[in-house]
Amino acid sequence: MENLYYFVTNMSTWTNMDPRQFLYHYFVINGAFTTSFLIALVVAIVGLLLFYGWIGMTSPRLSTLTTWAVTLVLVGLVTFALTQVSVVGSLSSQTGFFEDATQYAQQLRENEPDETLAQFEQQVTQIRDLMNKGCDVTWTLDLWNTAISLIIFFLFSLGVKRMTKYAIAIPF
Amino acid sequence: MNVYIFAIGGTGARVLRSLTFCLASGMECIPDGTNFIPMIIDYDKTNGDKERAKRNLTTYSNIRNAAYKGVVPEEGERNFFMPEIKFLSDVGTIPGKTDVALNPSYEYKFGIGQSNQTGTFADYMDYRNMMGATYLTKDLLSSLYNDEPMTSSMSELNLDLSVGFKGNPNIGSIIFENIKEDDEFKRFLNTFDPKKDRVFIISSIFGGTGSSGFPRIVDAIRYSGIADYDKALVGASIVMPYFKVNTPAGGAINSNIFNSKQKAALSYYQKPDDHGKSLYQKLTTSYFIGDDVATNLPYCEGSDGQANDAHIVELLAALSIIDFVSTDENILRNQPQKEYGLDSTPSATESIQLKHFIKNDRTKYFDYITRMALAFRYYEEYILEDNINAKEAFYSKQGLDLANKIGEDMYKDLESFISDFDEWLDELSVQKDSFRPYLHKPRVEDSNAPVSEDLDDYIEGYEGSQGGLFKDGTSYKDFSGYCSKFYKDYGKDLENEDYAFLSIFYDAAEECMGYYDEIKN
Repeated sequence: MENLYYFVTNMSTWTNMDPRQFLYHYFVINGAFTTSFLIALVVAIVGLLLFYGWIGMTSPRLSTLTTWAVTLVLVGLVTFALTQVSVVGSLSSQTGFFEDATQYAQQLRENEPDETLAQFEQQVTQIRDLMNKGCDVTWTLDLWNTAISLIIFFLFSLGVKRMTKYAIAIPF
Repeated sequence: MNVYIFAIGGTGARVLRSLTFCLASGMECIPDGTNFIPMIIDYDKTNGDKERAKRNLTTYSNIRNAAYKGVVPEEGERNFFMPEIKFLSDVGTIPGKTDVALNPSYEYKFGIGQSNQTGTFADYMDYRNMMGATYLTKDLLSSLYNDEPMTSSMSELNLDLSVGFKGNPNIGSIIFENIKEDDEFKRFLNTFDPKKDRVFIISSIFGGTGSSGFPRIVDAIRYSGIADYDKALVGASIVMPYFKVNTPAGGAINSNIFNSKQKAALSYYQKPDDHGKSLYQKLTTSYFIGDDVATNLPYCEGSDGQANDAHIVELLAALSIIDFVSTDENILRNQPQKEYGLDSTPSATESIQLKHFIKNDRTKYFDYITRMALAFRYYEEYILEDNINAKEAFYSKQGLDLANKIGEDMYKDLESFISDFDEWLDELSVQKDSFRPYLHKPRVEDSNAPVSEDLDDYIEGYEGSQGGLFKDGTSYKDFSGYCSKFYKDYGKDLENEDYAFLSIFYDAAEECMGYYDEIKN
């Protein structure tokens, strides 16, 4: 999964602004990348079911490239939103990354020598603030996950269109 | 079963024209494996009606040959252009009989041999060389036939036969006397199996060619001397006057005497022949069809100018052929004579519409013509006019790839057939007793006739459901949907894509018709 999200792991925040590797812990060790991918996959499949499984089998009038494009946009928007809400999460409600960072910080704090504790807290706050405000990691993750979802939707479209009644030529 | 159709004269050709549209519509009542062998009998060499009928038959056959290549329809399967229309030359000779070779043609040259020579009636009889022993015959002929010059409207002996008999059955009856000697008739006798095949004769009895040729053909079949030919199923559509012409001064054809000619013919047919049988007794079933509200037609003495507009009488005569072909032998033998009448009479301002026919005829015949009309209308207005979405499943490259086929091969012929169908519909609608079942586009651009916007208002007197995003209906878009559905169901698996195209259109049109509530009832 790390490789799939190569763009995210190469962001400046990931490489320079997170010396305690909160991001690595959350996305790689705790499987947030996998969750992201599952979101992209599930949303794409739901989109495919909606267009090819339902519209493409029941409504010749709606089985058009326009409807397909609308479904594609919807898939993108939903993936983007779900990635942001579920994976990145919210600081105030302590979900997603922030929940994991809080717990992981707690673990690290126990072993942290007193002389570096202040610096540690500063680093924790820094990564939390960056993720909360939105940084290159959050935007790249959201956009890249959206792109993955769209790619899945597109590629699967080519595979499943033949199984439909009215959408065998959509997208082309 | 082979059905041999002798279409005599201009009326015969016009009925045949209507028949091609009936056959193309895929009527279910026509038995499996029925082949039609039309033979147009008209002495008028360049008759417009004949040429148009031949063109229609050829187009039909071209479409059928392309669409059914390599296709063996299942028992009971129906589709557009299902029955085969064959040349007489293509019908196999019965084993043991002589194979009489013929050129492929829908045209029959009864009584004039294989050559194309024409001349006057006197030339035909070698009147001028009647000398010696035949001199008295010459005298008799001169007393029976008018010998005024060719330019006279009364001319008989000097009548130019290349334009037919100009309404003179007394001339036609002589010409048709020799039909048994003709190669076409010999081939008919040697290919016809009286145990399973049927013969049908279409003839008007108020002109020259039909009224004279009709009894001669019946006699030639019945008294051919071949075993069982006397028991063969022979039907006839006896077409009575349904149009008239404004005869100019000096014109040879006078429609004022159509009725008296008809009466004379009917009375002659009723008289017993040398074998003690009247013409009607020699026919299994006679269908009498006419219209007392006669349409005025432009005056024409034949040749290419005679291409009369289609009339509902011709359509009904064509349906009589279908009735004859689809009715059980035992029933036919108990129905020696049939007449046609509408279920209800249209009001003075109304055209004849589908609702005026009895329900059984609507179900048996007109539903199929309507089905074809819907399919053709959709093809013309939605596909040819480029209103169709290129991504429509059946139309797309992944489907039948119609964008690359339109205007080519079978589709070119189909478009020509559809254009002829439109013309035919329009002609039917402009008669005095007009038949306007569909709101088609008229030939005349500035016509005030209402034209349908979509399929849901195409059938006069019926309203189709408009459908919706998830609701089927009768619009062009719905028709597309039905086509795509049937393409997915079975069309994609058919090897011959032309056949697949016709099949899915046939089924889509049926599906579409299910959403015209009144048709269902």
